[in-house]
Amino acid sequence: MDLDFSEDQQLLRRTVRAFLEQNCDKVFVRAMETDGRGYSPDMWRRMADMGWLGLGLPEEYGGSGGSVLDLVILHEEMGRVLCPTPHQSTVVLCGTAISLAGSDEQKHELLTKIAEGKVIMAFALPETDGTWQADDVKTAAKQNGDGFFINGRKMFVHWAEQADKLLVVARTESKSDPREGISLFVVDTRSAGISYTPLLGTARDKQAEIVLENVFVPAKNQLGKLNEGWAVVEKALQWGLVASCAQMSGGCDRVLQMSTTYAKERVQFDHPIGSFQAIQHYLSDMATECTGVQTLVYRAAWTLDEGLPANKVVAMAKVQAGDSYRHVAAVGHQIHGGLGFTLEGEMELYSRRAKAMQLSMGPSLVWEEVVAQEIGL
Amino acid sequence: MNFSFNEDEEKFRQYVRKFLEENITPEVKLDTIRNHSGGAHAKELLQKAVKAGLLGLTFPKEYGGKELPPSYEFIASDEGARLEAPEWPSFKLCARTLINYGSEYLKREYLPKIMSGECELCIGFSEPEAGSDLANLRLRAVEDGDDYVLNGQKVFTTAANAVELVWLLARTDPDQPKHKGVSLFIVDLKSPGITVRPMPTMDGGQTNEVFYDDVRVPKRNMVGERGRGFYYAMSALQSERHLVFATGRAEAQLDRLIAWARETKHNGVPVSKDPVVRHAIARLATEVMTGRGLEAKVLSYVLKDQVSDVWASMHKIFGTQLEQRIYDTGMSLMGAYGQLRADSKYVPQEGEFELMARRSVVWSIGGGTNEIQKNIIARTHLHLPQT
Repeated sequence: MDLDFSEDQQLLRRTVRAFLEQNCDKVFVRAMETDGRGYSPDMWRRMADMGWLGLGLPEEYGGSGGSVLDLVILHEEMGRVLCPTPHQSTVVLCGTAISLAGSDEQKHELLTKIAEGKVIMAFALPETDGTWQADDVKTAAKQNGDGFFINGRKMFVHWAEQADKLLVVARTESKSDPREGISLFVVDTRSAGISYTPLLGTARDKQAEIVLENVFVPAKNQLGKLNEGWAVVEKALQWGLVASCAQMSGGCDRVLQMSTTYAKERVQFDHPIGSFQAIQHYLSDMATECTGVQTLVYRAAWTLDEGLPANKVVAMAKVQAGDSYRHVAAVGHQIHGGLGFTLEGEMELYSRRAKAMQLSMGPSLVWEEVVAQEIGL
Repeated sequence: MNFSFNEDEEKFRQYVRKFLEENITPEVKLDTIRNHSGGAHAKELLQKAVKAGLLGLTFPKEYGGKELPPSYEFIASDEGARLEAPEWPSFKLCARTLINYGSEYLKREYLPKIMSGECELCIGFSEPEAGSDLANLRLRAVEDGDDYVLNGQKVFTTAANAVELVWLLARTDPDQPKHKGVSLFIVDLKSPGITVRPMPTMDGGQTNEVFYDDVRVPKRNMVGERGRGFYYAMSALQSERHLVFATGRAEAQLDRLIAWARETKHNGVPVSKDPVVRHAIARLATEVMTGRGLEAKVLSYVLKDQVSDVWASMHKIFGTQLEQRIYDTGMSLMGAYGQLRADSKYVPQEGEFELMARRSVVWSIGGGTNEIQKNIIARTHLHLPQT
């Protein structure tokens, strides 16, 4: 039982934190909320230079190697400062799927580009119910000659409009078990027949509805075994969820830090408000919640890295992180008082994102059901 | 990063589990509730547990210990929590302090008896005017020849009705600041002048008031230095807290709730298929896993021999509130039947949740209230200003 990080991991965290301190202040975060692109290509290039766009991807295809725990470190730091970046969708979700399912040629083609920062990808899985589960996948891909025609509608796809390519999860065969008959396709975002509608959410992040009308995808862009794509999605989703939970954990920690600092500085009734027990207990409870989420996320990453069955712990991490981030942010607002409510403060940046992240990648109810199944109910 | 125990530790866990499963009988459980550690059946269990090598695992070999790492001590406590073994504070809170600070005389006189299970200690700290504010205690110890003479009263001295000795905090130096004028003694409960009065508790058990009227305790029965008693007591509580509040019990009770949901049917359909039931139990399971993480955090510091107070406080707050939620939820999901007691007709699950709901009230209060734990976190972890 040992919760220490290795020297390399500690170095990674220090390096990432320093980089983000230099390049991702709140002025930048706010600017990206109304920016058409929503991220900085310059930052993306520099992340590529640091090897972070290859983190978790196999070295033989240009990746940097590394474990889920390494990705957690990166994403925890990014979440701490609310860094707007298509890293999770490109590198973790799509990158993992391509690593698992791609042919040698596809991996050489795509993974290298990802690691070099030459391609942004969006993971086009969720549809109408936004649950990220197999039974929500109704988008169909019909084989025709040397390719497939895809018809359907995706919802809540992060970075869809900003991406160069989509990884589309579509149904190639209708089976009684919705997890069967699913295939994966790498689709150019500017293909004929695709249209996008931006979804305007509380976090002011980049999400879109994608309508696919007879979108042609050449056979060489189909990824992995036909009709057996869901197993790949599940694995990529595990990694993607843990990265998202890591961001939430980082956000929780920053809210705790900000709130504690504020409580020490804000003086009312001749005392710092941090000396009042109501505030102290809010913060102690927050610290307990933050530590709880953090250790659960680390456990989920460790479980995946050990190759142990991880469905239960990943689902639990998602449920706990979503709820705790939301709750911690609410208490953070209480502590910050009026200042937190205005745009002068940073609190509202965190609370909006906390809610959006809780509802993204499947809301709590969906993952609670996964937990219920895993514990034998 | 490693969330698992090693193979030897896992083997030890199975060994402890097997022993406890075979030896914790309903009679033992009844004794545990009534007397915590004391009572004839509980005594028998203690001595068997000692022989089986379940206690004193980390103590030096010269005192009968095994010098095993703290993970073994935790595993034994965790399995004990799971199967509702007695808490055995003699080992958890007293013996280590005796080893670290007791005189050679005291170690020779008492350690072998404690380690063999022949003698047990109850904890004599709290008083009517000294709960969370323990430093406010008033029981006086006045020097008289080779003895101290004790006068005063203790409250919540659980198991005083059943054990041989009391681990007692008394004020030896009223002119000193409150927390510096207190000393620690080992007192024979058979001493003349000691009266034990039962205080029945809401879980069907009891704790005790203990009155000390001119009770003589030999000076050599003082543990460690005069005036350091408060410090000894606090540091023992802080370093052992994770053992007293191990997550095993919450896990075992959650398993019971899952089993109930699977076995119980409404209109022919298992209750476990009801979305409301699934949501409630899945949440509890997630929280138990989170509690285990907080516990892992404590252990990771304990195993490196680093200060773990703050993490132990977090774990205690979270775990005790979670347990109360588990029992409350269990009773709620059972509907009207949730209120039935063990001896009632139609009672589900042997009335376990109803009983545990009554037992668990004290856990967010005893061993340092959750509010005090929050104060500790605020002060020592977040460094918030104190008034």
